[in-house]
Amino acid sequence: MKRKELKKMIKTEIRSLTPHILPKIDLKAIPLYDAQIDEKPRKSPNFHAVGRLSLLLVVVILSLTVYFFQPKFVDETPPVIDKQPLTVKEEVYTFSALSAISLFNANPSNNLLINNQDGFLIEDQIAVLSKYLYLIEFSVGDRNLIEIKTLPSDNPLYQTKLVYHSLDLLNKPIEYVFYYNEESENQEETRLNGIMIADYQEYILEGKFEREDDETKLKLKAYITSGDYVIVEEKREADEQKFFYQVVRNNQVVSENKIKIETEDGRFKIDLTFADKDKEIEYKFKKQKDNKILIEYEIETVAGEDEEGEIIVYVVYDMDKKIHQYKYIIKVEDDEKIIKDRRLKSINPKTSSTNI
Amino acid sequence: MKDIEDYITALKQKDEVAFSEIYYQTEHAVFALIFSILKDQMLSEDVMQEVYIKMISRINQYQSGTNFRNWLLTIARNAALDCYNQRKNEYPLDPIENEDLFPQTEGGAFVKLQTEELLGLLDIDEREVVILRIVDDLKFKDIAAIIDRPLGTVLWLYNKAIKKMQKHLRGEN
Repeated sequence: MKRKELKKMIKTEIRSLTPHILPKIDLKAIPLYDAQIDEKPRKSPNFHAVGRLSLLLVVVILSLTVYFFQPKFVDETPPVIDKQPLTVKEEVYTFSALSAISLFNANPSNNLLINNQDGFLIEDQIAVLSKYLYLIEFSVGDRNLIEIKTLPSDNPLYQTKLVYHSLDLLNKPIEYVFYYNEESENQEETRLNGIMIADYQEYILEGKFEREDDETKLKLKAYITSGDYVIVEEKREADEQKFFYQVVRNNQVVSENKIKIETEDGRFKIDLTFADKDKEIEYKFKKQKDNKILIEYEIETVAGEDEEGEIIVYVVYDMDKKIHQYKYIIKVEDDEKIIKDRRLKSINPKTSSTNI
Repeated sequence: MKDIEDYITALKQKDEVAFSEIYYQTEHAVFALIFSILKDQMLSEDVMQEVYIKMISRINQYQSGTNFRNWLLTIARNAALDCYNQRKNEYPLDPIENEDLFPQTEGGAFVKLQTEELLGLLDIDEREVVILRIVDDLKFKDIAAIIDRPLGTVLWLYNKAIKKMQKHLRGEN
């Protein structure tokens, strides 16, 4: 049942139960008081302490799994020094750092379609969605083409260098570089600090990796300046992987995001929840055939508006502008609209400022 | 068409028409909120009556120009919680034993049972938020003020509740 139908059903039925008590109230007999009586909201009884604790834990504890990062690593590229299979830890480091910086750059003020009065609610989110898509492309791309390599560090400040290679939807190469140092306090806990170079920008990374039995947990902070940063925490459960993000600007939390990744019939399914002071949006990403992504979304604003619909995303090349773009086909009920937004450039190792 | 503030001014003079207007504009929200806490039709009806009497007796304390609906719903919520706290020591409210929660009416029995079942999946916090939002179309920020919870929590509770009910309807529970 659709959200709208569910709401309509509950509204209709609850309203039908409302008793008619107006005749029972004798207005003339009721004394009017002048004294101030403070009517403040009271706390509701604590019915579900465990449930609340769970809610709190979801917010406080970060989690991420790596099973969707179970690539068959391509070992064809020559400069592989460490031919041992990469550990989960490196994969977690890489994806967490990648997603953190992706959200770091997802600045809502970059929206292209602000104050869109007549269109769909989701249109105002397209610019931010493009940032997420860039991240999502990694996880819905061809798993066999993902490669994370450990190379000898060419930066004297850091011991380890990880290079992440993949292909985007148009089979163009993507590459990120991650330099870091690790400091193990004991077998269970490792601290790390480093930098990630992505899209010509260097991000500082600080984190803590914990391992207990089969469970791992990572908390990572990515920033350029101290007041603006993204914190990512990851956790793996039996068959799903969750990431929790907090985006901070000028030392204020401006948005919180949660990504859940799970497999369904051998395909990846990614749920992304985004919440800030104005709205909450839930996206469900599914990779379709022909290099397109289907996104189901539900948006609900603080002002009381809501909308649910579908977006089909293609990557197209604009011959005139010579840029790749995301082409969004938005469908809400019987209405449809097409929007294009510039797609982020893939890093070209030859022109990047990195030392690759 | 008069503004609700005009009716409030008139209510202070015990104007019956003004009271009727206020009542009809708020009855569903007041009842739904009380019912979401007590889950008992008869009890909710009694508390609803008590709430309107309380509202009238305190109408001089209402600050004109502020949000009357929120003020009234805060009275309703507090009254329902008081009632709940009194009753919980007497006997637990068991929905199964309260068959009059959703009395069967012609042609609507199945849907009512389904609504009852769905709301029964939610805890009190989720029920309050869902009821206020769905039955009265209240804005989330107003719900946050009424139940004295952060806006983010209200959004979270609401979406969690909706998903819980949708999941149940899909037979995933």
